[in-house]
Amino acid sequence: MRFIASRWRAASKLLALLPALGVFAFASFASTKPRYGGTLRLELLAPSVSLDPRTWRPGSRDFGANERLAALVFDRLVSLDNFGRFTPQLATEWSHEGSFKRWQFVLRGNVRFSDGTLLTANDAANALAPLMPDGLKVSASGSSLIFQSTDSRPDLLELLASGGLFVYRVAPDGSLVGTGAFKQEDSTKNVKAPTPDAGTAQPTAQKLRFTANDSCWAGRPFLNAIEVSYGVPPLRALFDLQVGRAELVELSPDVVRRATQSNTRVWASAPLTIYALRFDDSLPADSSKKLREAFSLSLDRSTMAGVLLQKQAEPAAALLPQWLSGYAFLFKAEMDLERARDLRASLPLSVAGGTSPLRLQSDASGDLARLLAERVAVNARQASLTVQPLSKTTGAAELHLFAWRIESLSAGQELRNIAREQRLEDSKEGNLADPDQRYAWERKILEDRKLMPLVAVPDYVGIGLTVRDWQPSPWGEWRIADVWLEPASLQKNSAPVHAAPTGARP
Amino acid sequence: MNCINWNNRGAVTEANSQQWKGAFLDELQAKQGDPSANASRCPVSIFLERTPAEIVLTAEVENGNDQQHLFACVSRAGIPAETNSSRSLRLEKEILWQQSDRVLDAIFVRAENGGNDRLILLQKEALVVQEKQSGVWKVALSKPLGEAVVTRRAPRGELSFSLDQPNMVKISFGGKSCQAALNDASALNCQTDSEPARTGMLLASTCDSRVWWLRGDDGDSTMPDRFELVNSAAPQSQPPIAELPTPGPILSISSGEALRADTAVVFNLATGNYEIYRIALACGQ
Repeated sequence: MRFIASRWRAASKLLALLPALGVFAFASFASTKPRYGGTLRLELLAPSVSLDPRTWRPGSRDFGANERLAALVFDRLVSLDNFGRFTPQLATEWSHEGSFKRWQFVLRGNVRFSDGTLLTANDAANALAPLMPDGLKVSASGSSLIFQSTDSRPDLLELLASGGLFVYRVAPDGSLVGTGAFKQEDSTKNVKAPTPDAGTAQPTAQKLRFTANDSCWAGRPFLNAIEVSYGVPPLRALFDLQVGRAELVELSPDVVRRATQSNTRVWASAPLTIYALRFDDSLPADSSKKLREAFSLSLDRSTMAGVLLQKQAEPAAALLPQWLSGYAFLFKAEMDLERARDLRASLPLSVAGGTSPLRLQSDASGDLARLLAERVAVNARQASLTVQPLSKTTGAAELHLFAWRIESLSAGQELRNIAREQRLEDSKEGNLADPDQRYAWERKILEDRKLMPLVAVPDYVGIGLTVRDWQPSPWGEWRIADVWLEPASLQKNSAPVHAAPTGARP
Repeated sequence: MNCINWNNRGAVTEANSQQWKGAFLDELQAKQGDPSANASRCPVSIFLERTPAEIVLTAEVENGNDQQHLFACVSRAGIPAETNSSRSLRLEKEILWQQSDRVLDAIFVRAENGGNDRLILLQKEALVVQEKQSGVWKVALSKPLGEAVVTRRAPRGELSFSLDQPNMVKISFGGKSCQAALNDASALNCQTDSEPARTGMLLASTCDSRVWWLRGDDGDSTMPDRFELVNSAAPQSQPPIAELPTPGPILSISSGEALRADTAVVFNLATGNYEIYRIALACGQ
């Protein structure tokens, strides 16, 4: 309830203080009290966006942008605050059986979608049903939702408080309607219900506009509107922020240093995107294991994070970042070229990486992926392994570089998603909500070395001087409904000094 | 117990960490037997890490040439210090008044029973009472300090107010205290006194039933200061639970609202004005 309360509280304070404003119209006073109004201009790097969570692919690069835009329009049943407390959103209370297999959530009453229709448990169940992971089903029962799982799900709250598990209603025209703080203007243009074979929704415009939902159950947001531009080149985004053409811009890691050097306010999330390598099963099993080990020992993750990414990333030895699993520090990935060379020498030259190169295909797009692929090749060469980065997607490659965007606050679900998308065997461990079993599985994956994490990269945001109450979660929720804009005329006395990155710790 | 290597990696407060140390040893004992009794299993390292919803406790147990890892998770919401509203207390300041003349201390008194809000200012040479009438502060009384005038280079003076005596204020100078009536022009009634100078003021939280201690950080008077909220039980040794920067040094902190809010005088280094703030506690971040 924290954010809801903050909005209501701020509104009531404003009313209470109105009589005094005329007398104590000091600039500093005005600047510290939330103001209603204004249009926030937001620029995103993602080339395409979709507000339909049914079309989102787990781990995809655009997931972050999609989720942030969807969070403007839709609500979740619960949210997680920065202090580890689950707080009611569309559900006001919840309970579970001792086995954690059956959960009941009571829906908040008198909540309306932005088109005025009343939210029902059926709406919520219909929205969430196609988004549920395997083995978890949701149904409506009166004004409650019942979640029934084949396995114990003590992590259901983490699951529901993150990712794409939003509540929406499909309007007759196929667009999605939400209960959130904003509503999308002309939503039929950009929010599409998926067709049976739809992979991702195709945007039809480079701009989106959201306006305040005056009847939002949690209170009207401070902003009147948000104008979103997406597919904006990184340098252009930074420039727009610096010249005042945007208030909030996504920054790519390679421009962060430039931004901070020019005193731009920059916020960094916890590391949310993992860049990693995947070995295909095309190599002979007997030699592949040694080859993978040699390859793994050749990787210089510290240089990748420190030099290539100018310290805007962390070396990653685990698939789940430390902030999510709590145990990533147990995994070590030290570079050992001598051992790598010995291992390579013990293999016949005919094995890939010897006379014929290992072909490395980048499944992730962008300059960063290309640079990492080239670095991997350089590292491998130092261990007498030849790697050929492919410039095009050919489908015939032994090695793949991929980027994985963390989406779920359930560490077990996230690990399962990674494994499934990267075509690994499913866990033999029973319950991945149990850290012992989750750790055991992640360790097995990493020791098998079919997946090799390289670096973990935070999300970066450049923040304009007029943006106030920017208080995102470390795991990447922007919480724009709580943001307000200070009129430019009042900036002089109240511009915050640098917004230090909030860092990686939740 | 000597072989336990306990690492709280910023996950919880030190007090909780120590409490958990005992709890974790119990957990470990249930899974492994007494770790301190079997020397072959030492050292045991325990790590506390914070994730968005949980604190993850990891035990790294030397087991011959191998290491074994055991885990336990505790919901962050279940930790008293994490859910204690003190973690989400926020200091809020509201500027009431500013002037270029020196203000030694000030007290804001919220109106009750249909009266007017009052702002009592202790200046170098006078006690000034302002009342808010139709939204505007108007001087209701200006009482010369007379013999009590502060003549030091760095004058100090403190006001004390009690709701039980709403028309009286006590003024404390170094070595002297005076009673001053707020509703008439009578002279100050002074006597020798040796009350020590205040170092802060109590401040009650509406978020819970606790009372905190509000203080400045006692920095150089040429530097911006900040309000610090600390545990009132041991204010000297406690780290602040909430902070609020100010545009200059904090000169005084008093209370005229039965600790529901405090009043502070801050010298604004940028403008050279003395600013009077009402400081209150708000729940949430």
